[in-house]
Amino acid sequence: MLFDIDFDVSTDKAQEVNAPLETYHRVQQFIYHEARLLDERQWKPWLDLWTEEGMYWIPREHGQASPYDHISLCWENALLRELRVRTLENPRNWAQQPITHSTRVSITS
Amino acid sequence: MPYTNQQIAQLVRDDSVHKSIYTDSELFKLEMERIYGQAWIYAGHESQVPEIGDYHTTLIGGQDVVMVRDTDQTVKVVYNRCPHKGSMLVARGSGNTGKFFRCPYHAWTFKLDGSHLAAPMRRGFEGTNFDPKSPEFSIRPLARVENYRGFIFVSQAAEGPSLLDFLGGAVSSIDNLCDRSPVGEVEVAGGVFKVMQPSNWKVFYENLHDTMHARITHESSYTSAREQAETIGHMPLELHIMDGNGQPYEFWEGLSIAAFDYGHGYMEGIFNPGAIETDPITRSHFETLEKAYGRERALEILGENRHNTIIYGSGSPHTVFQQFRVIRPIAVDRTMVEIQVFRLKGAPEAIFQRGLMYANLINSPSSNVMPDDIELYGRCQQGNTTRGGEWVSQHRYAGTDTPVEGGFTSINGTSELPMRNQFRAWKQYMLGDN
Repeated sequence: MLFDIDFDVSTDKAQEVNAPLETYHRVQQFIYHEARLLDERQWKPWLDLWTEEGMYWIPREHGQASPYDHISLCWENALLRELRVRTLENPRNWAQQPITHSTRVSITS
Repeated sequence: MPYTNQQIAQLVRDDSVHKSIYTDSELFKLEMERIYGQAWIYAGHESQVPEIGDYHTTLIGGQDVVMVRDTDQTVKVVYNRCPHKGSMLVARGSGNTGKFFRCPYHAWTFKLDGSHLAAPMRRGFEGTNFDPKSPEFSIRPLARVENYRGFIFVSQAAEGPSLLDFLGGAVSSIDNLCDRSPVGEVEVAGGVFKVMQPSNWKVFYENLHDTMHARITHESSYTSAREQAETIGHMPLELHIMDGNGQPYEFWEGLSIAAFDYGHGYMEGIFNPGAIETDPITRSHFETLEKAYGRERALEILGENRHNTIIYGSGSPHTVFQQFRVIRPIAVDRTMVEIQVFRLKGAPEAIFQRGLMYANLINSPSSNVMPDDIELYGRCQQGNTTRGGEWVSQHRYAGTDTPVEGGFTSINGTSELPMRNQFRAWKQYMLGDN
């Protein structure tokens, strides 16, 4: 179940990391690659980027520390991500008439 | 152009309503006076203001009000207006104002029930008509405020039916929701979603018991859920709640619908979150209730499986997934829906998590299911502004609405009784016949 998972997903423990330039570049390229796949609606390659246990999380509130005791805009495992792709591509998705065009802006520093 | 009562009466037929009911701002203004200015409207839940001084603002028919926990521990609701220059006392949202309200403009202060406390430099009012004992110099409370099991309802009219008389049979849904807690109490927890609909408030109310729309409007999500279930070989709850919308017409025909005076109603449940015998979470919930109420009562409580309940003018509580969709009209073509999620006090935490899961999947703006509804509501709003016809049909099983004590029942689950019942109430309000 979605709420059985119990690892800390909060960002308040996030820290600066001193990574070599090469690693930093590859991480950046990965993020741009993901953004391009989504903006181009290449759902299958996007799903393939994920590990099995990966969770897609869009918190509901600023500073929300946990998706386990609070609603989230998205809290989705592999099953739900795949479901989302199927729904998006379904010809009778009335809310996707016309389809949503997106442009992701990545800001890295 | 001001509407006469005769003109208003002609907008509602036995089996159809005129499209202007959804698109005319004049009628919207009248609705805010004659419906929202009279009826009992849900303001919020007392758990949103637990400590003295806690406040939570909301809109009652477009009126800015403040729900606040008074020093005597009761919940009061006052208009968000300072009697001095008319300023809103608090900004929209929630917070704590301490033991009194203090207007940020000139620091006039008021007790939490709204009564005048002090105004700076009193000397300047000597010999004038300034009178701190007059209601003119206090914050005005809503005419009537009632707390039913933590649910705070208000009426802007001093006279009218009592809250319980008003709610009629719909009160049993509030009771069932609370009784699913072993201590009979719920609390708003886990956050509130807000969704803006580009459509008239009544379009949403009519959809809540529209049993003919689900398998058409939600085709993209339930067919996807079924495909998904097939690839993994079983149907977990997350997919079951989407699959439900795809039930065949025969299923919907067999559901029972109850319609009550004042436009309220409820319909039989469409999900089966888990039989007590087979699902460990439901079993654990049952055992908690059995300990509190005894086996027979526990079975009765959990056996009451309802889908959407409608409290016309307030919104829609859902007993099985513990939520309340609060419906606030903003404009003739704009409606704000706030989805409150409840924790059942003393019940297993897994039941609360189910409520979170249902809210995330069904009520989130990112839902795979809800956007199809919003799209169709918006299309109805747009289509009804064209010259493409005058009337909105409510013909299904017209003439078969069966009167019972306090309302009507349907002879078929696909009857448009709920819509006709809502307009029966609408007409009574708008003609001043309540």
